Amino acid sequence: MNESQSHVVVLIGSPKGVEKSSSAKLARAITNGLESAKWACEWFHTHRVLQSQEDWEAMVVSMSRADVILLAAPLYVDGLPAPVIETLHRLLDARNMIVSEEDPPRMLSLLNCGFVEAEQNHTAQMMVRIFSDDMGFQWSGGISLGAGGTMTKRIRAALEMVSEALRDDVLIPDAVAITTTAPIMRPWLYVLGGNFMWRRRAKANGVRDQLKAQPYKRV
Amino acid sequence: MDNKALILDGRIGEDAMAERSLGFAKAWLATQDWDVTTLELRELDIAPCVGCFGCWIKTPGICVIDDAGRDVAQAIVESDLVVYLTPILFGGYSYELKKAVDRSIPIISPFFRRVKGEVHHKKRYARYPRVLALGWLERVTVDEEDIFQTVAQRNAINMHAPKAVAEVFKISEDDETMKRRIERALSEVVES
Ligand SMILES: Cc1cc2nc3c(=O)[nH]c(=O)nc-3n(C[C@H](O)[C@H](O)[C@H](O)COP(=O)(O)O)c2cc1C
Repeated sequence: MNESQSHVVVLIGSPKGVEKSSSAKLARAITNGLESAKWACEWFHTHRVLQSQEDWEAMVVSMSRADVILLAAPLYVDGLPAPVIETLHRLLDARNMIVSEEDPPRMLSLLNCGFVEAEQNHTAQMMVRIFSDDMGFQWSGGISLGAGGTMTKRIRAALEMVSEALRDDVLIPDAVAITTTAPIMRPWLYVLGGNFMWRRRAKANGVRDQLKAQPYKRV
Repeated sequence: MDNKALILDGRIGEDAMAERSLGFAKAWLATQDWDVTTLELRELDIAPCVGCFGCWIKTPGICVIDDAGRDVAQAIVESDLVVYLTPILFGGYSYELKKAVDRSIPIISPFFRRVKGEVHHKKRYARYPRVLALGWLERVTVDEEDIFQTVAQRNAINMHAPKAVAEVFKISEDDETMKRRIERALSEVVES
């Protein structure tokens, strides 16, 4: 990367990491459009930076020269996964090394959840926003997706709009939220399809008849 | 209602608020004949959830990671009341508490159901504990208090708590007020 290049830091907050998570797949739909515009793009995994001082320092340095910080994470029990909370908490202590008052980076979050309703990410989005404000970043909004981050054509197009808005350094258009929060299917159908999927996956593991096991049942 | 209580202490370091709230909660529970277990989570070996769903489709009901996270999940199911103690970070739980909460999804069923029009999971067990969440902040802000209250109620839906109450304290709160509010919150959460 060079000085004149724009720079995005992607923090992946899924334990499945940069390779396998829905979070990363969704984030890539945004960064692809930045990379084609010659942005430098650096990826970090929250679970890893907590384990390695070297990775942690690399992340802090990278964030200090970022124009955009993108946190992509799954929803875990109505909040952020524990290692994401820990990372954000530690970043607050490193604030002085990351943010300069004149030109704070933009921050946005990209959260996905397993239920069909993207709105279930709401509380977690508020948490990221508080972090962003505490850091002194320019909050650029939270993008929420339901249904395990299933990538439809519509959603891909919305994420490309995000990419364009970042390139042009303008606000993320409202159309993005309208598209990403529209349920990809009716809840009853999602329930039906989801339950079928759990049975099939348990069957593949030979535990189809144990799905309702109660190992900790009180006597 | 039986009377087994589990206190999950989510402090992340030395924390006078954790000591104070723990003291007031335990004292009140003792006067009401509750059998109380306290776990200081940061002292336990609890790896973060790896997001594999093995607890639903490989070893149903049990996390694939064999550490204290399993014991905490079991202790939750075996309780009638769970009390969370936590410094509030970004409106939510501390990472020490959240690590245990993330690892507690084995106690619910993977199967989806609809609750008030939204998708959630079915129960795995017939009974789940009520929850009292006690959180504290240096300065109480409307946003953070609101998030904390909302998360407690949202969690109650997802984790099948028959009742959930949350209280937010500022760390300069005097002992008298804190004691009174904790006692009131406890009697509210356990009342039938
Ligand atoms: C411990 C745990 C807790 C979860 N809690 C929720 C939840 O509260 N609401 C929800 O809609 N999905 C929840 N999910 C589902 C994930 O958000 C969903 O599977 C997501 O697509 C995972 O994204 P990733 O591949 O980026 O990790 C949870 C998953 C796990 C493993």
